[in-house]
Amino acid sequence: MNPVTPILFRTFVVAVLAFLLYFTSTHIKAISRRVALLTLAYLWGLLWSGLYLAQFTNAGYRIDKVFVLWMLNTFLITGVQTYWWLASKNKQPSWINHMYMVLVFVIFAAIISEADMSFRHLAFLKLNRVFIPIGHVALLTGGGLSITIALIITRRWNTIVERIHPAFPLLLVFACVFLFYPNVTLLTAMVFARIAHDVFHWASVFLLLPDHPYLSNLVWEIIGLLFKKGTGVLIAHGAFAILAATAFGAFYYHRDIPPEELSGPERRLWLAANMRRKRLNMIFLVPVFISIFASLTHYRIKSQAIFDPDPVPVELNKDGRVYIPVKDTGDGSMHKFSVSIDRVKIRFIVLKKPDGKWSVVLDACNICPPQGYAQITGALFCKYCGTPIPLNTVGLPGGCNPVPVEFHISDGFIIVDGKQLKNTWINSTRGK
Amino acid sequence: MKSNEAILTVTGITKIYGNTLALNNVSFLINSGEWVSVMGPSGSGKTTLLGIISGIIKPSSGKVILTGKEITAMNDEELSLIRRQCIGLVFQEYNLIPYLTALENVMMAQYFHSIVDEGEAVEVLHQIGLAERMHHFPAQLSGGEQQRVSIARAIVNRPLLLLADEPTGNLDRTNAQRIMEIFKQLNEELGVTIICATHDEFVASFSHRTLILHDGRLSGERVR
Ligand SMILES: Nc1ncnc2c1ncn2[C@@H]1O[C@H](COP(=O)(O)OP(=O)(O)OP(=O)(O)O)[C@@H](O)[C@H]1O
Ligand SMILES: [Mg+2]
Repeated sequence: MNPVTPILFRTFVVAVLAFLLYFTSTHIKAISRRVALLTLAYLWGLLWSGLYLAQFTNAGYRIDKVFVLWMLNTFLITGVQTYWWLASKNKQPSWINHMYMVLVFVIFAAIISEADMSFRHLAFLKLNRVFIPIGHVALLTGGGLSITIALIITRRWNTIVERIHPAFPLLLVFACVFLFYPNVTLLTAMVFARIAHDVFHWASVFLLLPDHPYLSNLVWEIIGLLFKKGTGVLIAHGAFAILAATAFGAFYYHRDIPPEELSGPERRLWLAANMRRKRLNMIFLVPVFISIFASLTHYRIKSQAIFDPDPVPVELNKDGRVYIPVKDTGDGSMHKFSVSIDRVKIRFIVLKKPDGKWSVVLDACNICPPQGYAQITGALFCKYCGTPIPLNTVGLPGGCNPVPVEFHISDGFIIVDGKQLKNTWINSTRGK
Repeated sequence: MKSNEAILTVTGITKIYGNTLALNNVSFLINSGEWVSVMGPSGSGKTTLLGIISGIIKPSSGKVILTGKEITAMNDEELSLIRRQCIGLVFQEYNLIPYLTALENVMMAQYFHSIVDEGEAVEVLHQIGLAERMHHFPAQLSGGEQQRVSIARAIVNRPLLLLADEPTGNLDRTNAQRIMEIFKQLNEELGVTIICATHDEFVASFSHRTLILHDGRLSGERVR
């Protein structure tokens, strides 16, 4: 099934629910709106941290580290929410408040579709047969800490807090999200690219028109760029950097006009205070850009952890088959081989999957140009379109999965028929 | 413009320098819009008193309350803020910056208060009759003119309280009169509260009230 549909559907449901909650509560009482906001903040923190937790426990991280991460996470999110709430108290909600909520919902919704499988990790962790509500403990600590600090800040440095425009902490949250959740950037970038692609593709399918003849390979390659992991991240970061810079520029060069009843020294005081306010807000530019830069650097370093070996050339045996020793390929990472059959150069992959079974597949799929696959933690991914293929599904046909090849194992060898290998390769790479 | 609302309350101020008792348990009250002279022989503690009111000098004991805020309990940061926003200072030595013009000297005060506004500075110089000479440096101005520049500098941020320490000490009668006319205008038209230390009876005669200091003690009071 088209992977975007369930995400969109759940996004839609969550967005509707959240907006209902938010906008109905604005009509009740200011206080209940605040409660609703804080509840949402709490849930949001829960969701994020749950996701994070699930990721890290899967990756074998230690529970105390996860706890700290979770705490920090809630701290960040509840803290900013609380700060914003305190800073805007006694004021009508402005467009920026609404934007904040929209942001919360969008990310909330985008994530919840990914999160549902991790939900069982959320509330409890089973340690030595004891269920520990670690999530709640961490949430209470992080949330409590952040609310306390926000309260202290707004009391102690009240004059400073009043001078900070809520848009700037908001930008900072964005930047932190970029820094701490690289998957979000990726997700946003790729979801948009994929929606663009799918709308077009499915429209063509619906109209019974083949889209390839009138969209040349070049066009698909350009669209394909957006699907790429690196490009997606760059686009998202670049767009954010531009947004941040524009926001700062607009704020800084906005001409503020002092109230008419002020004149002389009082007017000058007003102008000076305004100038200080602007300078104070400009300070946010520094962490925002540091965060973007750090996030990109982090991504660059992380992406170097991709395993992308050169294919090992093998020869066709006299009986027209390829023999690969089992003992050389059982370490759980992919092994690429290349073989020339009738002057056709074929690349294929041998992999022992986490479930213990073996797979032999082409280093190409039915959809994309045959740029092949590389391995990341828990998955192969297509170097052309960036789609991750979970290791256990390698060997299943369809979509951007690598095309499976028939094989059998005997006497410690993986044996593949050469003729069949050639035909499969030619069939799946034809015209690309 | 006098009112019965105290703008300044001085309670039990004592200042000891080593073994000199410069001020000895001085208490008084000044209403908003009042013009008060402080008289007394040399060394009686006039300068010390004004210094304590403006927060430049810390008293050994006692309290100064200006517009409800206790100056004597403030830290340096709060003091410099209140000095910038509420108090104007005029001294016997005009303390003008020699390499800035009259106008720039006035604008300097604006800069430390908030931001500069040339038009406003020109207007104040106009008001004290120095519009023609505003691009002159202090060395090119007479003593009376220099003192007027320092008054312009003191009032450009519209202080609530103007503290003047022998503002006419170096001036002849004509110039002294001129300065007093300016004070009168400030006091009557803008409601600025003035405290002016002097040993000149002529200068004191312009004020509403005169406090008399003797050896650091408040020894008497005259009301006009
Ligand atoms: N920084 C100081 N260190 C030590 N003694 C000081 C200091 N400042 C002032 N005094 C002493 O305190 C006393 C009061 O001085 P102050 O300058 O207040 O007098 P004044 O009334 O202003 O005199 P004048 O009319 O001469 O200006 C004097 O005896 C002076 O010597
Ligand atoms: Mg003196």
